[in-house]
Amino acid sequence: MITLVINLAIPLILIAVAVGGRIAHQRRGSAIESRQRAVAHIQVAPVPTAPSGVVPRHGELVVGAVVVGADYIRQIVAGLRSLVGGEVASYNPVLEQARAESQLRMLEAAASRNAVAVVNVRFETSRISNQASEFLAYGTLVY
Amino acid sequence: MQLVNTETIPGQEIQRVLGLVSGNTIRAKHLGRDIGAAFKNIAGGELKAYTELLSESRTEATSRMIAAAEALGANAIVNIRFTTSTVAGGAAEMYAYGTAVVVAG
Repeated sequence: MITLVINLAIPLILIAVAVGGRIAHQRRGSAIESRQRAVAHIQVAPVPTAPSGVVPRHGELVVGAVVVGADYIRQIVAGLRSLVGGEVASYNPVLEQARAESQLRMLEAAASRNAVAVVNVRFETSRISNQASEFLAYGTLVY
Repeated sequence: MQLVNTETIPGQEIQRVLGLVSGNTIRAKHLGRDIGAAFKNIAGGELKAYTELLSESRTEATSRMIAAAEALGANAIVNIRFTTSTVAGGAAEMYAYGTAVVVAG
């Protein structure tokens, strides 16, 4: 009886926490949208030249980074997906949001230094531990 | 020391190229943080302890790169790149590299 309770309770707690995490994920998503509007005046380009109309007088390195993990439900779905192969769609929203967050942090740092544009933007991802990855965005701010 | 990840610096002219400079650091996560992160992972989302740890390491790697550039007599580093890799179970390497130059303008 006790083992049955434990066997049921642990996954249920994990799933409940994961559902909470999902709600938090969605909240962050809408927060990101409003933060993006706040820095929308900064132009972003993956090329090293300043956008037309901008005559740069100054350049400076700017970095934004975030480490994220996927919630328990997504991990299970991804685990099942790896049995049959194919796109691991359950991770897409996590990675998308993390990359948006890293870009946003870079832009917010650029905004605080009065940048007009961030050029030569590079994105990098690296696995930190089994379930955590770092997303890095960096570039050169110009004004 | 001026740092950019473009090949040139706006409004300034590169007078001399002094060569490649780099800085690295290998950091291990601390056990408490690791356990905390494992719990946080159930809910997903940002692992703030790791974000901080990695930005500290990146700052350290960058300042070592700057020290190398200063030793060469540079006043700027262009074309900076960052890489991160997990080298062992609990350790990550941060590597920053770029071209040390003398600029004026």
